[in-house]
Amino acid sequence: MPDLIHAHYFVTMGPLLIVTATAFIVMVLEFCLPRVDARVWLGLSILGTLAAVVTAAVHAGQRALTLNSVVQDAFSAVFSLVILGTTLLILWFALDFARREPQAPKEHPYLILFAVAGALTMASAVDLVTLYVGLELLSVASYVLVGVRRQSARSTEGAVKYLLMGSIGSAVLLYGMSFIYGLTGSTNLYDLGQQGMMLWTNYPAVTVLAFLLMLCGMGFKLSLVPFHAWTPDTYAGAPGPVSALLATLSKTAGFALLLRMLLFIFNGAPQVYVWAGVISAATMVVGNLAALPQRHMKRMLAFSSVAQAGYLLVPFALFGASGYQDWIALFDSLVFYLVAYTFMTVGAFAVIWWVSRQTRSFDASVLDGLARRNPWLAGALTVFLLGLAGMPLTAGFVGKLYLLIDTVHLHEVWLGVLLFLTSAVSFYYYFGWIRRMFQPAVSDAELAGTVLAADAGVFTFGLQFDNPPITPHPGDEHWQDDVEGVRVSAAPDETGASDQQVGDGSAGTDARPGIVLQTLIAVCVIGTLVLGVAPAVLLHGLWAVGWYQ
Amino acid sequence: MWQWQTQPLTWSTFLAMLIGTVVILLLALGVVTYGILAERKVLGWMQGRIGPNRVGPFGLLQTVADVLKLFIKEDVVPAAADRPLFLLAPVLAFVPAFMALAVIPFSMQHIFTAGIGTGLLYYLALSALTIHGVMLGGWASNNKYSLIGGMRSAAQMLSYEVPLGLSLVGVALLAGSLNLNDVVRAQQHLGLWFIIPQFLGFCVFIVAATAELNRTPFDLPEAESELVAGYHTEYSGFRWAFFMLTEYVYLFAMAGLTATLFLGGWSGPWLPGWLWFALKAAAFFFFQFWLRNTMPRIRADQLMTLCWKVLLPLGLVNLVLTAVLKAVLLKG
Amino acid sequence: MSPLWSAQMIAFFLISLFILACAVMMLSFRKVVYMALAVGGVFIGCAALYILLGAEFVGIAQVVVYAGAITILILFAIMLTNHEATEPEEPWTVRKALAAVGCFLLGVTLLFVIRGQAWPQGDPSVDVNQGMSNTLAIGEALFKSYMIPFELVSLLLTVALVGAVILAQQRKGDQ
Repeated sequence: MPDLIHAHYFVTMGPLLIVTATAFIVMVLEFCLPRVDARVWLGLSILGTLAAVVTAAVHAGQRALTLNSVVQDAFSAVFSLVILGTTLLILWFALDFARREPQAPKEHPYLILFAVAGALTMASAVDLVTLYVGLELLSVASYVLVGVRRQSARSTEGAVKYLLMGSIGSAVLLYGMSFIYGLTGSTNLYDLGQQGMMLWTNYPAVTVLAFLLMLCGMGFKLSLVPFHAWTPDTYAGAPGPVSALLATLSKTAGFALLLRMLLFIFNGAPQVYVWAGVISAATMVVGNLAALPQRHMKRMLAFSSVAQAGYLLVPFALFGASGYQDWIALFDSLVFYLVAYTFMTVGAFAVIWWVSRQTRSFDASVLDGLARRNPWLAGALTVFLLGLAGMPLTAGFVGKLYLLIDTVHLHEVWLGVLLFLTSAVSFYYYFGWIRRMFQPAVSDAELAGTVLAADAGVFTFGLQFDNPPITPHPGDEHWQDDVEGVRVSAAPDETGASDQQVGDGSAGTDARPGIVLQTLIAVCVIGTLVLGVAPAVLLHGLWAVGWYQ
Repeated sequence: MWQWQTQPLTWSTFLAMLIGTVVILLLALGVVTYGILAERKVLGWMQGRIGPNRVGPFGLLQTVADVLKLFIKEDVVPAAADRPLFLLAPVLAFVPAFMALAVIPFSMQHIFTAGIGTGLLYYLALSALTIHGVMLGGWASNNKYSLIGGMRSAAQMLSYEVPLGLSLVGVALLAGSLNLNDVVRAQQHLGLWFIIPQFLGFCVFIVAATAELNRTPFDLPEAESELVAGYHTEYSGFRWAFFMLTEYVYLFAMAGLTATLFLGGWSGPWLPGWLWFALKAAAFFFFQFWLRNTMPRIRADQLMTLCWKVLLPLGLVNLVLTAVLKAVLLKG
Repeated sequence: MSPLWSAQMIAFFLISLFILACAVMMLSFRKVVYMALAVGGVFIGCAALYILLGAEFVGIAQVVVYAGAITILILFAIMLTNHEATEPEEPWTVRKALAAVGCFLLGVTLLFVIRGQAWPQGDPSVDVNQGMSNTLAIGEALFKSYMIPFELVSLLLTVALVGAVILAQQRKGDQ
């Protein structure tokens, strides 16, 4: 009989409780005081998250288990901190978003916090039911966040697709869990961990089936191929900070859940992890190839995040071939890549949001000549793109290097080779953007409210990489429009755009991002570069926490 | 043979079940027949009239004659109606109403009623099923009054099921069981009808129950001044009779539930259990007739406000108070 | 009496037949209201299966939540929104045919995996409710071992409720 009174609630669930309490406070206050600026609530949310970070950091060394369902161990400590750090970045992003977009829905702060509560549960639960409820909490909050701009057809489309696909994913995941429960009669991961060998020897077929169902169910949530089809529409339809949340926080939590669930349940069945390798390979290939023809910036980032999910799935394929000692390296490389990916993706979404807001278009052509208009933003975006592509001196390179070493070390070289090859493919589209930003020709030709056409995108792809000097093509309407289109007078700003501009510029006219956004981008740039130059910073932290303590 | 609840299923226990069912059906029909007569008599008395007194001695056969008249009426199905659903709807409404009677403990020797462990929830589940019949009847009639009546009825019954359920939770907490027989025994054991410790819960219950029954002052679904006759506007003859029967069977069931939960069921001194039960149920019937005579109809916008902003918070307060009461006083 | 033809087995087959019939009807009906009703039939059949398996609380809760509330909500949604009362017949396309083949293969695979496996048999002499009534046993599990997920579900419901209000409420500037 579990002891309800004397459990270590604050050690195991401290951050979760603080985030939830903040969410409720913000929600009630927002209902009571509808006139107050949304930024006040965001500020309050950031304070709450900071308190949660402090709690998580203080308790990082302690170990406790509450009511057989929530645990404080190294795994949950590390992932909770990553999740809370991501939350801070996203709330910071939302702070600028709320200032610039007066029409922005005010519900963002507490819905984001509820999603974070779900994510924290996913990182620290050791019970299938609790894990599932955490996942649903994150998902339901995300569905609402995506669909909250009801005037926008894109937003609604994205929300509906996300809702339907997410529900199917939940159902599939639950179906897989039901097999495990049916075989063992337990939902507790510790119990299941002890029966792992029994499962594989006695019920091999059902075990493989359950593994596949659980992996595919999470595949819907993590946008793994072939379950990724919702990703571009949803990211494109969601407001900027929400896209960033879906791409980073949601994935971090999803990988945490998947990792804990699969490792505990299938520890006796190393053969099943091959399937994770197969899905990882498919995701890397399809994600990168599908990103090639994209012209809509958020859609391209969406496909890029699909590809990145494929890289992140590589360690999962290696667990089967390795022993407990090797797992430490796998954990380290997974967490490292997640952190690096978070910095780069949040930063990229922030820059993209800013640029597209200035030009009222998401077409990649609005990046033309960004380096002259705003060298600081262009430089930052270049860092993020180089990082996502995996260039040396950035965090992305180090992350991919670790993954590559893992595959070689654990004799799954084919995955490493695939990782390398698909990364090479990704250079094309990431460098396409960088070339756009820095190329001198037709740089001021800005688009005014361009609507995308997929076929135009394919055409541009060919144009971009086969004929480097872009010239207006007389045969193509798209470029005709560009040249004749209204030139937005975004005067090239040479006077050091990195000067921090304080004060409320009236929305839509000022050409430089405010201090909030600049800080966010600066943090992301620093994160990307520091982890790229000195990865030991994070690795030492992970070493200090110690996975098996 | 009669102790089939604890016996494995054989032909003889099956026969006993069947007989029990038929007896309950006849009982329900009898109660409904004379319930309607009593309603008309009470209405007459309260309005200073005599009421029906022509058919049989004191008008005792009035309802019987009415039922015979309904039997021989033509069963009209409107041309534009959705025929299969129109025919099916009264059945869908009546079957759960009759099934709900299965858990009411009419007497101490409850051989005819199922003593299932989830009796309270079972009642709620079945009363939710009846809404289908009402709603589909309104929809299938293809008539605007029917449709609006059906929708109103469904919205009202669905909404008031929430405070109804909440008020029942207080009783379940005190009794420590969802089994209706156990609830009666708990009251016997306590020596107190639950209407005393659960007075707030009883108030919520009685309002919500009246709304569930679609009776005055909550008779909006059949508001004759605006909706002709609500969801059964297009029904006639036997099918209309089924809808009426459903309403009165629910009145009977709700009377049984009230008696069981708040008035001590079949327990009481001197008199036999079934008589106590009948008296308590009759009191509920009389209360409903009395309400019908004295209350005006509530407005549609007040209906939902009352449910969600008054009854629901009261139900929650009652739940908390009951939990505290149970933890502090009864355990203490 | 052989175990194949015990009363429970007969009941199981009848209920399964009812569920399958309702499910097929749900797919083959063209009128949306009929589909909703067929789904209600599936829910009730599932409740019957639960009760047959001795999980009476789950069975009744299934009727309350699914057959009662959810089917009614579906009916409300159908009656309050603009749509064709009858779905048009949709022609068969290659895509649909492929989807059908995929579903069939998935079903066959699941069937073979499930049927080709000796499943652990519970000991019938062990009382899973530990001597308590079914309702009481569920309550004990829910409020003791599954306390935290239970509380998290309340959080989840709050989010769903608030989210529904946010998505449904009229905003300034909406048409």
